[in-house]
Amino acid sequence: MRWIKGIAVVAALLCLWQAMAASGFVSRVFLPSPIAASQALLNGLTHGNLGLLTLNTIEHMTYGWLLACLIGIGLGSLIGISSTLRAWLMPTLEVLRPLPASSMVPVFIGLFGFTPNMVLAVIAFGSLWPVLLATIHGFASIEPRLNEVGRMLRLSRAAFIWKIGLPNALPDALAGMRLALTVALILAIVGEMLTSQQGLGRAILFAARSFRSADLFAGVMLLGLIGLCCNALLAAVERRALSWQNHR
Amino acid sequence: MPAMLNIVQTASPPPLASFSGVALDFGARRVLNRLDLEIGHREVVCVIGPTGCGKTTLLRLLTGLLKPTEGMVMRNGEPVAGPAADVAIVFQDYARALLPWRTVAGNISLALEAGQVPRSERQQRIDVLLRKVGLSAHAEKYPGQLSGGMQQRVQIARALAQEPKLLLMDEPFGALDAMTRQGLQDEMLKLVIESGTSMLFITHDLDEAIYLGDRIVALRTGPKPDQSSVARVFDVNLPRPRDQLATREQPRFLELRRAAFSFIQEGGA
Repeated sequence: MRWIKGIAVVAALLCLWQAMAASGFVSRVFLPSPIAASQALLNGLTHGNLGLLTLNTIEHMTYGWLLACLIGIGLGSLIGISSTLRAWLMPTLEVLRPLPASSMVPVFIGLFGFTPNMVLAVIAFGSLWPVLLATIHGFASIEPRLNEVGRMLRLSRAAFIWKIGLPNALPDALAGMRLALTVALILAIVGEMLTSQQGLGRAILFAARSFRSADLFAGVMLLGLIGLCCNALLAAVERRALSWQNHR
Repeated sequence: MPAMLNIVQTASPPPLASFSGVALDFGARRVLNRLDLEIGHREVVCVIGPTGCGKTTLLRLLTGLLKPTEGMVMRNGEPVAGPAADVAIVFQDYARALLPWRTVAGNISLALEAGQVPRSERQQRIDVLLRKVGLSAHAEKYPGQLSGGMQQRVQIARALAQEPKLLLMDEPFGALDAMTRQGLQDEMLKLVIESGTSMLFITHDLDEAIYLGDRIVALRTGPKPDQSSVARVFDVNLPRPRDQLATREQPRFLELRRAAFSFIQEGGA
């Protein structure tokens, strides 16, 4: 039933879009009808290279996101477990964190040039924060009693991180990873637009510049779809990894 | 020959654990003072006393997580330097002491993993421990799915997995209902006697202390500078195995109960 309600709203929005396009209220050059956009989408997927571009974008997003997760969880674990590291590093992180990733683009261009590595760095930098901060928070919320259990069992620091710290931080870290994926998709598109890297970002930009509004909207629809699928995929992973929480 | 006799004398094993002249301050407050106590092999020592008398502190000194301000805490004749493999602890708050993301078997396994037991042996040892605490049917459940009494059994099984020489119990049954408590008391006595472990058992329940213990140590709150924290020691002298009905009806039980009760009522002076 909830499912039907959700679909109904989407259908209503599509109708509104169609009505606006048909009314001529917005010039057809800028707003295609949903039918025209869908046709462009199908056409691009079957005859054009839209499928390949989509894969390119997913690839950029995924690499940057994985790098962010790796650094975020690794560094987050170390900072979370050690109050010494927290004292040394937290102020720096607090300075870096509010920097918009887009403002770091010129810095990374200076460092890496207009290369795929620059885009990778921008994506990783931007999507690092949700994972890093969530992991640190997950470690901070370890039940003090479990610290004692670990000490009584004489667990090594590595064993404590692996067996108690990380599982305890996992719910937070997974939520952070989901947020990070959204950020990674945005930055992948920005990166493609900036560096003319092959992908949906560049395709959308070119479609806009040559007034191919149907192609532009086809690209935007595909991006929405990528976001939707990735989120559903991560939600499924989360349900599986945190299945113990359903038994409480 | 006198020399031989001398050797025999010095070779007599030191007590499993001992406190000599132990004092402990929390800030300006002296919690424990002039504490002398020995725990023998295969002995069950219960500690009672009013809230804030340092019962848990005494127990924590034996874990090595806490260091005395004065005096010595020894185990097997050696000063306690830190947690040891053969000293296990069972906390009162079982829900916080277990890993909620591990199953019952997984929680017991944690102690085996920490003790470097090879993977191939773990499953079999877990099965034995599960049988001992009566949780064989619940091996794959998560702690959150179990009742309080069952969760506490998981913690006991995890402690026994260490094969401890000394088992520290910090008001382990304080949060459980009376029926569950009595059941666990009997199981605990059976397990401890079977395995030859010594047990230091903290409780605020006098009946529980008498029922379980060989000896009861009563602590006083706020000892004066010249006073020992140990207000009284009761030798229980009740036969084993003990029985929830018969033991509690024995004149000796009632006598001890009266003595301990009036001690507590007088404010542990």
